[in-house]
Amino acid sequence: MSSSNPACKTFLPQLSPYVDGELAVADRLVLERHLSACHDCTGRVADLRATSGLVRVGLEFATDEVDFKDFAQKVMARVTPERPPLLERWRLSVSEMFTYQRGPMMASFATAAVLLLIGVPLVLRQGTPVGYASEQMAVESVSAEAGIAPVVLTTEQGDAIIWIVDEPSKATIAGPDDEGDDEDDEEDAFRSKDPNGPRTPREGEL
Amino acid sequence: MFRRAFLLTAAAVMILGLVPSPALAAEDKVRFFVDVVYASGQGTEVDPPSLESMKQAFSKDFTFTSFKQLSTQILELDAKVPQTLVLPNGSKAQFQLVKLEKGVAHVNLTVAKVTTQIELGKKASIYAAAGTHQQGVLVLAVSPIMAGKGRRDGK
Repeated sequence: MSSSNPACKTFLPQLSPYVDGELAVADRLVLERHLSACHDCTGRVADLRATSGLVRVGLEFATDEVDFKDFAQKVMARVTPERPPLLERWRLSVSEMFTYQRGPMMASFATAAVLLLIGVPLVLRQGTPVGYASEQMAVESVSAEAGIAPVVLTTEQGDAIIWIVDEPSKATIAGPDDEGDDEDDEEDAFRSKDPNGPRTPREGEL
Repeated sequence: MFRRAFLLTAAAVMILGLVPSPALAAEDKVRFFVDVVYASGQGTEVDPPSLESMKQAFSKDFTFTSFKQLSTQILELDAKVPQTLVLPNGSKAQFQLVKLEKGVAHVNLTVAKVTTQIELGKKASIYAAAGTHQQGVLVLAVSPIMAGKGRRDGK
């Protein structure tokens, strides 16, 4: 189809974009003004629209015949034909994190360190109160004023009894057959029953 | 932005390191049970039943048959201030934290003119005579207080 109008040569390249709706508004208005006066170009536009419609219908027929089931999986399989092993993927992930997100990573590590430094001692302290590192209560030393003889007795359970004997010689065995006046009876319960008498503790030792 | 976040976190670490938290401030305080027990040869009452362990401890060398708890409290000591208990017989018992070394608390107990240095531990109890009272004697029982455990559970 030859054109008798010389202006058509200017508008010919714009006809296809015009049919596809890709022309700018200003260009479209100029072209439409030309089309209203040019029968040749109007015919060309009609031909292009008809061709476009035929192509569209043809493509629709073609796509109806295609099975798009598992399309994404097939594409991904072609893009990454072999999945790297888990260790390799982890290494890549860590490497990318340290490369592209170093700041947040460092901040996270710093925060975790702070939480550990504060939290761990608190948790440990809940388990054992302050001052109880020793396994068992113990008497380290005993001292008394003059005239008082302190005695330290230990039991099988590990308990310790600190007792007072005014005069060590008075420490006697108490019992139902213990003889003495009424005044002494009141004190009998406090006296050691150990036949050898309560021992005097040495400094720093039970 | 990330750089700023990191700097802020680092600053927080330094601040937290310099300013002691309340939990850390309480580190120098030690706590333990102190029971005032009236022991006598009158009757066979053991009140409360948890004093059975005390009765057992005294059974070998003493003839007390009755143990009654007159008071119980948790004493909290720090390194500077001694604590004084006034006992029912009018005498006084003074507790003082001597030192806290390698996690072990050393406490001085002065009662009835006798001073005893005690090393606190997780188990057992220390019984100290505290003078006569009525028909018997008063005994101070010092026992460990363990986190989340009850009286003498550490035994």
